[in-house]
Amino acid sequence: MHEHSNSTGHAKPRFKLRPKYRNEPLTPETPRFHVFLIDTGWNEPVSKVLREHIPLFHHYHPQDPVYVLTKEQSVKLLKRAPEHIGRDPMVVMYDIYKPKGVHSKENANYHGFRLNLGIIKNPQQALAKLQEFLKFVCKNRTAECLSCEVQRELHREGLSNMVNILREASEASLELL
Amino acid sequence: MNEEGGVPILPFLIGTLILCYFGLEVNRQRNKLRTIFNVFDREESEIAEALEEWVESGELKPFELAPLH
Repeated sequence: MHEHSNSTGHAKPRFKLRPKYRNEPLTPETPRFHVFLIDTGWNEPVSKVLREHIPLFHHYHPQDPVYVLTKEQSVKLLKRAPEHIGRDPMVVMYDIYKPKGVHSKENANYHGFRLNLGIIKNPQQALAKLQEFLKFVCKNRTAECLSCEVQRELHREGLSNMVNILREASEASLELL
Repeated sequence: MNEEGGVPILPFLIGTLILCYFGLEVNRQRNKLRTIFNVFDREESEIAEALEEWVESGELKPFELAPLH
Protein backbone atom coordinates (compact mmCIF):
# COMPACT_ATOMS: atom_id res chain seq x y z
CA MET A 1 0.00 0.00 0.00
CA HIS A 2 1.22 3.47 -0.79
CA GLU A 3 0.55 6.63 1.13
CA HIS A 4 -0.44 10.11 0.13
CA SER A 5 -1.38 13.25 2.02
CA ASN A 6 -4.95 14.47 2.11
CA SER A 7 -6.14 18.09 2.54
CA THR A 8 -5.74 17.97 6.35
CA GLY A 9 -2.12 16.94 6.03
CA HIS A 10 -2.60 13.45 7.46
CA ALA A 11 -1.08 10.56 5.59
CA LYS A 12 -3.90 8.34 4.39
CA PRO A 13 -3.01 4.86 3.20
CA ARG A 14 -3.96 4.29 -0.41
CA PHE A 15 -4.99 0.92 -1.61
CA LYS A 16 -2.58 -0.14 -4.35
CA LEU A 17 -2.26 -3.45 -6.10
CA ARG A 18 1.13 -2.74 -7.65
CA PRO A 19 3.81 -4.98 -6.14
CA LYS A 20 6.55 -3.37 -4.07
CA TYR A 21 9.93 -4.45 -2.76
CA ARG A 22 9.92 -5.74 0.77
CA ASN A 23 12.52 -5.18 3.48
CA GLU A 24 11.69 -8.00 5.86
CA PRO A 25 11.86 -11.74 5.24
CA LEU A 26 8.66 -13.57 4.35
CA THR A 27 7.11 -15.81 6.98
CA PRO A 28 4.00 -17.99 6.66
CA GLU A 29 2.09 -15.32 8.62
CA THR A 30 3.17 -12.38 6.46
CA PRO A 31 0.22 -10.88 4.57
CA ARG A 32 1.17 -11.32 0.94
CA PHE A 33 -1.89 -11.36 -1.28
CA HIS A 34 -5.07 -9.51 -2.08
CA VAL A 35 -7.60 -12.07 -3.22
CA PHE A 36 -10.49 -11.20 -5.56
CA LEU A 37 -13.31 -13.49 -6.59
CA ILE A 38 -14.82 -12.53 -9.92
CA ASP A 39 -18.00 -14.26 -10.94
CA THR A 40 -20.63 -13.20 -13.45
CA GLY A 41 -22.63 -16.40 -13.00
CA TRP A 42 -22.01 -18.23 -16.29
CA ASN A 43 -21.14 -21.44 -14.60
CA GLU A 44 -23.67 -21.91 -11.78
CA PRO A 45 -22.53 -25.34 -10.46
CA VAL A 46 -18.89 -24.23 -10.22
CA SER A 47 -19.91 -20.84 -8.73
CA LYS A 48 -21.79 -22.71 -6.04
CA VAL A 49 -18.74 -24.83 -5.18
CA LEU A 50 -16.52 -21.75 -5.00
CA ARG A 51 -18.93 -19.68 -2.90
CA GLU A 52 -19.46 -22.56 -0.47
CA HIS A 53 -15.71 -22.80 0.09
CA ILE A 54 -14.81 -19.12 0.39
CA PRO A 55 -14.89 -19.21 4.23
CA LEU A 56 -12.64 -22.26 4.31
CA PHE A 57 -10.29 -20.69 1.78
CA HIS A 58 -10.12 -17.57 3.93
CA HIS A 59 -9.57 -19.57 7.12
CA TYR A 60 -6.36 -20.94 5.63
CA HIS A 61 -5.08 -17.44 4.90
CA PRO A 62 -6.80 -15.02 7.28
CA GLN A 63 -3.93 -12.56 6.85
CA ASP A 64 -4.86 -12.00 3.18
CA PRO A 65 -8.04 -9.99 2.56
CA VAL A 66 -10.60 -11.63 0.28
CA TYR A 67 -12.88 -9.44 -1.82
CA VAL A 68 -15.97 -11.02 -3.35
CA LEU A 69 -17.23 -9.01 -6.32
CA THR A 70 -20.93 -8.79 -7.02
CA LYS A 71 -22.26 -9.94 -10.37
CA GLU A 72 -22.54 -6.32 -11.49
CA GLN A 73 -18.97 -5.53 -10.46
CA SER A 74 -17.73 -8.69 -12.17
CA VAL A 75 -19.49 -7.73 -15.40
CA LYS A 76 -18.09 -4.18 -15.25
CA LEU A 77 -14.62 -5.59 -14.72
CA LEU A 78 -14.75 -8.15 -17.48
CA LYS A 79 -16.00 -5.51 -19.90
CA ARG A 80 -12.58 -3.95 -19.41
CA ALA A 81 -10.86 -7.26 -20.07
CA PRO A 82 -13.15 -9.12 -22.49
CA GLU A 83 -10.55 -11.83 -23.13
CA HIS A 84 -11.53 -13.31 -19.75
CA ILE A 85 -15.25 -13.53 -20.42
CA GLY A 86 -16.41 -17.11 -19.91
CA ARG A 87 -13.44 -18.00 -17.70
CA ASP A 88 -15.13 -16.94 -14.49
CA PRO A 89 -15.64 -17.73 -11.67
CA MET A 90 -12.01 -16.84 -11.13
CA VAL A 91 -9.81 -16.40 -8.12
CA VAL A 92 -7.30 -13.60 -8.70
CA MET A 93 -4.38 -13.32 -6.28
CA TYR A 94 -2.43 -10.06 -6.41
CA ASP A 95 1.01 -10.51 -4.91
CA ILE A 96 1.99 -7.37 -2.99
CA TYR A 97 5.70 -8.15 -3.21
CA LYS A 98 8.05 -8.08 -6.14
CA PRO A 99 10.40 -11.02 -6.42
CA LYS A 100 13.90 -10.11 -5.27
CA GLY A 101 16.90 -10.80 -7.42
CA VAL A 102 14.85 -12.05 -10.36
CA HIS A 103 15.85 -10.28 -13.50
CA SER A 104 13.94 -11.88 -16.38
CA LYS A 105 11.42 -9.62 -18.11
CA GLU A 106 8.61 -12.06 -17.44
CA ASN A 107 9.29 -12.10 -13.72
CA ALA A 108 9.80 -8.36 -13.56
CA ASN A 109 6.27 -7.88 -14.93
CA TYR A 110 4.76 -10.44 -12.60
CA HIS A 111 1.82 -9.09 -10.55
CA GLY A 112 0.14 -12.26 -9.32
CA PHE A 113 -1.62 -15.38 -10.47
CA ARG A 114 -5.15 -16.64 -10.95
CA LEU A 115 -7.33 -19.68 -11.19
CA ASN A 116 -9.99 -19.61 -13.92
CA LEU A 117 -12.50 -22.13 -12.65
CA GLY A 118 -15.14 -21.27 -15.26
CA ILE A 119 -13.28 -23.35 -17.84
CA ILE A 120 -14.05 -26.47 -15.82
CA LYS A 121 -17.56 -27.80 -16.35
CA ASN A 122 -17.65 -30.48 -13.66
CA PRO A 123 -18.09 -29.12 -10.08
CA GLN A 124 -16.12 -32.04 -8.59
CA GLN A 125 -13.17 -31.30 -10.85
CA ALA A 126 -13.46 -27.61 -9.97
CA LEU A 127 -13.36 -28.48 -6.28
CA ALA A 128 -10.27 -30.63 -6.79
CA LYS A 129 -8.63 -27.76 -8.67
CA LEU A 130 -9.54 -25.33 -5.90
CA GLN A 131 -7.97 -27.66 -3.34
CA GLU A 132 -4.80 -27.94 -5.44
CA PHE A 133 -4.73 -24.16 -5.73
CA LEU A 134 -5.10 -23.74 -1.98
CA LYS A 135 -2.33 -26.27 -1.42
CA PHE A 136 -0.12 -24.42 -3.89
CA VAL A 137 -0.66 -21.11 -2.06
CA CYS A 138 -0.03 -22.70 1.36
CA LYS A 139 3.15 -24.39 0.22
CA ASN A 140 4.57 -21.45 -1.69
CA ARG A 141 3.45 -18.34 0.14
CA THR A 142 7.00 -17.68 1.36
CA ALA A 143 8.60 -18.42 -2.02
CA GLU A 144 10.84 -15.68 -3.33
CA CYS A 145 9.77 -16.14 -6.94
CA LEU A 146 6.15 -17.22 -7.13
CA SER A 147 5.98 -16.95 -10.90
CA CYS A 148 8.80 -19.55 -11.02
CA GLU A 149 6.74 -21.76 -8.70
CA VAL A 150 3.68 -21.39 -10.94
CA GLN A 151 5.79 -22.47 -13.95
CA ARG A 152 7.14 -25.43 -11.97
CA GLU A 153 3.63 -26.47 -10.92
CA LEU A 154 2.40 -26.25 -14.52
CA HIS A 155 5.34 -28.34 -15.66
CA ARG A 156 4.64 -30.95 -12.99
CA GLU A 157 0.93 -31.11 -13.88
CA GLY A 158 1.81 -31.26 -17.57
CA LEU A 159 4.05 -34.28 -16.96
CA SER A 160 1.39 -36.03 -14.92
CA ASN A 161 -1.14 -35.35 -17.69
CA MET A 162 1.27 -36.79 -20.23
CA VAL A 163 1.57 -39.97 -18.18
CA ASN A 164 -2.23 -40.17 -18.01
CA ILE A 165 -2.55 -39.78 -21.77
CA LEU A 166 0.04 -42.51 -22.30
CA ARG A 167 -1.76 -44.79 -19.87
CA GLU A 168 -5.12 -44.17 -21.53
CA ALA A 169 -3.60 -44.71 -24.97
CA SER A 170 -1.99 -47.99 -23.93
CA GLU A 171 -5.25 -49.17 -22.33
CA ALA A 172 -7.13 -48.32 -25.53
CA SER A 173 -4.59 -50.17 -27.69
CA LEU A 174 -4.79 -53.21 -25.43
CA GLU A 175 -8.58 -53.19 -25.80
CA LEU A 176 -8.22 -52.96 -29.57
CA LEU A 177 -5.82 -55.89 -29.61
CA MET B 1 1.14 -51.36 -49.78
CA ASN B 2 4.42 -53.00 -48.84
CA GLU B 3 6.81 -53.46 -51.68
CA GLU B 4 9.48 -56.08 -51.38
CA GLY B 5 12.62 -54.59 -49.84
CA GLY B 6 10.90 -51.24 -49.37
CA VAL B 7 9.98 -49.39 -46.23
CA PRO B 8 6.82 -50.81 -44.56
CA ILE B 9 4.54 -47.84 -45.07
CA LEU B 10 1.51 -48.88 -43.05
CA PRO B 11 3.20 -49.35 -39.64
CA PHE B 12 5.18 -46.19 -40.26
CA LEU B 13 1.99 -44.28 -41.07
CA ILE B 14 0.17 -45.62 -38.01
CA GLY B 15 3.15 -44.81 -35.80
CA THR B 16 3.27 -41.27 -37.16
CA LEU B 17 -0.45 -40.83 -36.60
CA ILE B 18 -0.17 -42.06 -33.00
CA LEU B 19 2.73 -39.70 -32.36
CA CYS B 20 0.82 -36.78 -33.90
CA TYR B 21 -2.23 -37.57 -31.78
CA PHE B 22 -0.08 -37.83 -28.68
CA GLY B 23 1.64 -34.51 -29.45
CA LEU B 24 -1.65 -32.73 -30.14
CA GLU B 25 -3.30 -34.13 -27.02
CA VAL B 26 -0.35 -33.13 -24.81
CA ASN B 27 -0.40 -29.67 -26.35
CA ARG B 28 -4.16 -29.35 -25.84
CA GLN B 29 -3.89 -30.40 -22.20
CA ARG B 30 -0.98 -28.00 -21.66
CA ASN B 31 -2.92 -25.08 -23.11
CA LYS B 32 -5.93 -25.95 -20.99
CA LEU B 33 -3.77 -26.09 -17.87
CA ARG B 34 -2.29 -22.70 -18.69
CA THR B 35 -5.72 -21.21 -19.27
CA ILE B 36 -6.96 -22.48 -15.92
CA PHE B 37 -3.95 -21.53 -13.82
CA ASN B 38 -1.51 -18.84 -14.82
CA VAL B 39 0.33 -15.70 -13.82
CA PHE B 40 -0.63 -12.23 -14.91
CA ASP B 41 1.39 -9.11 -15.49
CA ARG B 42 0.96 -5.37 -15.73
CA GLU B 43 -0.93 -5.65 -19.01
CA GLU B 44 -3.95 -6.15 -16.79
CA SER B 45 -3.52 -2.82 -15.06
CA GLU B 46 -7.01 -1.73 -16.14
CA ILE B 47 -8.53 -4.44 -13.99
CA ALA B 48 -6.24 -3.49 -11.10
CA GLU B 49 -7.21 0.18 -11.43
CA ALA B 50 -10.92 -0.64 -11.18
CA LEU B 51 -10.36 -2.89 -8.18
CA GLU B 52 -8.23 -0.26 -6.44
CA GLU B 53 -10.94 2.36 -7.03
CA TRP B 54 -13.71 0.12 -5.66
CA VAL B 55 -11.76 -0.90 -2.57
CA GLU B 56 -10.73 2.66 -1.85
CA SER B 57 -14.24 4.01 -2.25
CA GLY B 58 -15.64 1.26 -0.02
CA GLU B 59 -17.69 -0.18 -2.88
CA LEU B 60 -15.79 -3.42 -2.39
CA LYS B 61 -15.20 -4.58 1.16
CA PRO B 62 -13.13 -7.48 2.51
CA PHE B 63 -14.97 -10.68 3.21
CA GLU B 64 -15.86 -11.04 6.90
CA LEU B 65 -14.57 -14.22 8.42
CA ALA B 66 -17.16 -16.16 10.42
CA PRO B 67 -16.16 -18.99 12.80
CA LEU B 68 -16.07 -22.46 11.26
CA HIS B 69 -18.86 -24.83 12.33
